[in-house]
Amino acid sequence: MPFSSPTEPRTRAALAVAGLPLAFFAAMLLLPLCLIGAISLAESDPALSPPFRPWWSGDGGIGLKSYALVLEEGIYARAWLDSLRIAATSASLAVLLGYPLALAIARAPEKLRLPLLALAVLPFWTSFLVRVYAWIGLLRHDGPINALLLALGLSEQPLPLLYGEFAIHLGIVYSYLPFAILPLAANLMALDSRLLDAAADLGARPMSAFLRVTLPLSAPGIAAAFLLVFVPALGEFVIPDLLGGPDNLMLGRLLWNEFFQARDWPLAAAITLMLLAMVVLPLLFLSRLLGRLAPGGRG
Amino acid sequence: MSEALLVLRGLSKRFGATAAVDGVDLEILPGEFFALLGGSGCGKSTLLRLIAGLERPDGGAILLEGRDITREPPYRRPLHMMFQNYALFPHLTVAENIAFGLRRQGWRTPAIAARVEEMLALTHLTELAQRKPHQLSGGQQQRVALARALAPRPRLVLLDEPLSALDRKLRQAMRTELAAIQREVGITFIIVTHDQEEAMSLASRVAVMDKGRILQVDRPQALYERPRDRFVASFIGQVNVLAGTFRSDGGRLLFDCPALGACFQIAEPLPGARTLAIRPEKLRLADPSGPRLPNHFRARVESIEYRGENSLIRLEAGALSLLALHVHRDRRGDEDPPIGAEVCLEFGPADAFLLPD
Amino acid sequence: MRGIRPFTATALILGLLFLYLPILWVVLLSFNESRLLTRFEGFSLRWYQALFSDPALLAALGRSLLIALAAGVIAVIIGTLAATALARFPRFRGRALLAFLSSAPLVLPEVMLGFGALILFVSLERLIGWPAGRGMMTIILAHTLLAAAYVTVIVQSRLAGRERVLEEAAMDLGADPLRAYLLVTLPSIAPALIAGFLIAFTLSLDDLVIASFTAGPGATTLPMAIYSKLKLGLSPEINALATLLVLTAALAVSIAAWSLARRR
Repeated sequence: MPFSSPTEPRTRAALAVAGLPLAFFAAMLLLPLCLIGAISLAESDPALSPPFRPWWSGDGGIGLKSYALVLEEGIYARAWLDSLRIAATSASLAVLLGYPLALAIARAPEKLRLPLLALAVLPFWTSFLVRVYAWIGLLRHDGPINALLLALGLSEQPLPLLYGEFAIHLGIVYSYLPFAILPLAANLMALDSRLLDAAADLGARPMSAFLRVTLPLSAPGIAAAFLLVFVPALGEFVIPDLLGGPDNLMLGRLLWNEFFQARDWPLAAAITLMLLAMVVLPLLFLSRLLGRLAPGGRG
Repeated sequence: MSEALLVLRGLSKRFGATAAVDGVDLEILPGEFFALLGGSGCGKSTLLRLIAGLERPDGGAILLEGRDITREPPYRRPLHMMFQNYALFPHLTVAENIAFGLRRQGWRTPAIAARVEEMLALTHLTELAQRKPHQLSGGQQQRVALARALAPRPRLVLLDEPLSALDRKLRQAMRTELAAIQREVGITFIIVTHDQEEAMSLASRVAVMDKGRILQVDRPQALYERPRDRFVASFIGQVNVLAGTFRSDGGRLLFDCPALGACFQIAEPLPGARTLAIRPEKLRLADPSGPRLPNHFRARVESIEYRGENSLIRLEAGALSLLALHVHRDRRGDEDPPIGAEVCLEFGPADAFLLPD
Repeated sequence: MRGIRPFTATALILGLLFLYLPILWVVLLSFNESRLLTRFEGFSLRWYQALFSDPALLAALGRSLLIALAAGVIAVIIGTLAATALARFPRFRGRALLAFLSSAPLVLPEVMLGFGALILFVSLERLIGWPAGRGMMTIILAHTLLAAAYVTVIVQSRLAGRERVLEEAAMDLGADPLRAYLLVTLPSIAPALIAGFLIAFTLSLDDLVIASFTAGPGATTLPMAIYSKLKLGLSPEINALATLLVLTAALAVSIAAWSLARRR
């Protein structure tokens, strides 16, 4: 390339612009990553401040003890499996619930589509803490949901809805539903409605047109919706902490507890890195999916 | 030749493996309304952006009034561009848009105000001076873009498909206005267009481009009547092409056409030419009483496209497919022939022209 | 286009009810005369009064607003620079790294961001003595990380649009690249900057996890105050506070959406 375009300024200008953000993001993300890596290999010592022996200055040993603990100790191993299972089931539920809503938005009259989508996504931007907290009141044994169940005669006595996996699933589905709706709606809105007309014209009933045309074509949207809920749910702290019972440990909550209660920083660091390893693959896949959902920019 | 305003010498620009502009030489005279005409992807817009300085050439030179500006950045070139979708600044009013270039040149405030007034009056926008671009119609936006480009008194104005965003009717009106404004301000215009009618009706000279090269530069009438290139002949209007051989026989210029089994008299020689071209409107249906012009041959009517003032008749003569334009004048015996009829076609020696290979 | 069909209407109504009823329930109870959290027994503003006479909560609110304001402003500066670099300079060393790093906070779990930021601050303090201790400053920096990522995405998508042509037009009319950016590009992406700021502000105002990691003993933010109250049990004041938070966030985000969608 002999010349760059004259309206596309040179490298020096690029670095003048990119310098500050690059330095900031690198300092706030890459530096901690290295530090966490180093700390995860150190020995915990609650008597010190910060509570570990820095092996890099010759104090204490270096080893994979924290990793071994996370992988072998029963409570941690269970937290892994529980996190994966709960994140997967609630992400599936969010897709299942979000799909009809996204389909309804995509099939609404054109003028209403964007306002409806905005309405569906707006709750995501209102206080996360409040939305989780709302369910505490709703799910209590004397709360309105139990009152409704009793009044309808669906239950003899109040059900223990709160502080368990049911509430955690509900909380994740509720909180991250907008994450599922967005890619699904984008996908379904981009689907040419003439395809459905063509299917109907060729004799397909609505249900079979849906199963044979709409559903297969929305596969990338479904995958993106699942991952967009699955990834943040894996590391979720607020929802299992407020809606779960004491033994519903998910990784995010485990990290929080190790840090704030047990003050075991090496263990918290090991959990962080293993969580990172778990989200990296889905994230790479997700970015490819999102790239495919939004081809070439704005319409 | 030294009086040329803009000179392009061997200008080239590649994008990856494709040559968008391929060794273009061109001279633009002061006060000219010049058109670059070609299909999409022919390189005409890239050529315009090279002149504006928005792209840098891979080779060649650009001279403005004898000064080499090849390496000048766009903001130091005394020429302005009217962008295809106008590129009006959305946060500035009409008046502020027009004043933008004046401010960059460091004009004084009273002078700016006077010049903006003048431009508003010229483009009939005085009442809209305080509007924002999104409050204007397409035609009004187009005039603001023109006023903005003209305001700083550039040596040259470049117009990139200036009328393509307008609907058909408005396009006609704006064409007339554009021509009038150019005559009034006397600034040189270079317009890029894919619309041959637009180029022919507006410009004093037209350059036809294809695949990054300029094929022919000429007055519109010369381009149509005497194209020097097969692409130019078929790009501007429709044309019938006959294969054969040219020869000169004792002062007479002849073209042998084996496909029609005929030998035609022609007016202008072109040694070695193997192609004769005739515009459909020059191919006339001979009177039933017999042809009056020296060149004639028989053909069969395949189909007729009735278009009111005329009909486009598709004919077959042997293996050849031909077009003839039959003009309807208000007199008897001027009806279209029936489909399938055998007719006699005629043309004069000056009606056809030879094309190089 | 067909009219609204029964399936569409049902799905929409049920879906939106599910999304909004829990929030509305909290809002309703915040106006409850009774201390009971299960039944509405008459309209009253007493919990709002109680809220505004709680000095600890008010202090937390003031702190949260200040943090959100500062994080919002810094995030807009850093995010706009990042977006400009990504959208305007197709090739420079570090571009891929910047693209990757600036989008990572969007998807990484907040516990990781918070823990990482804390480790960084503690190590920096040991190494160079700054930041001395944890407090509002460290929360602001950590919130800026998350917020700047959102600003980058919003501004970058705006810059990728037609503003490139506007810059060319400005340069064609005699503005050098810096002036073209300042006089034309920046004003025409102003809506995206406003939207970015409001989103950043909302994110910071609402964050519990990152703030908890990076706050010192004295720097309790509003979500942290709400969280510790929640751990003690539900109370009607929290409903009032929650209502105010929801309203603020909904307002900020609606303005942001309007600002982005408005015809320019």
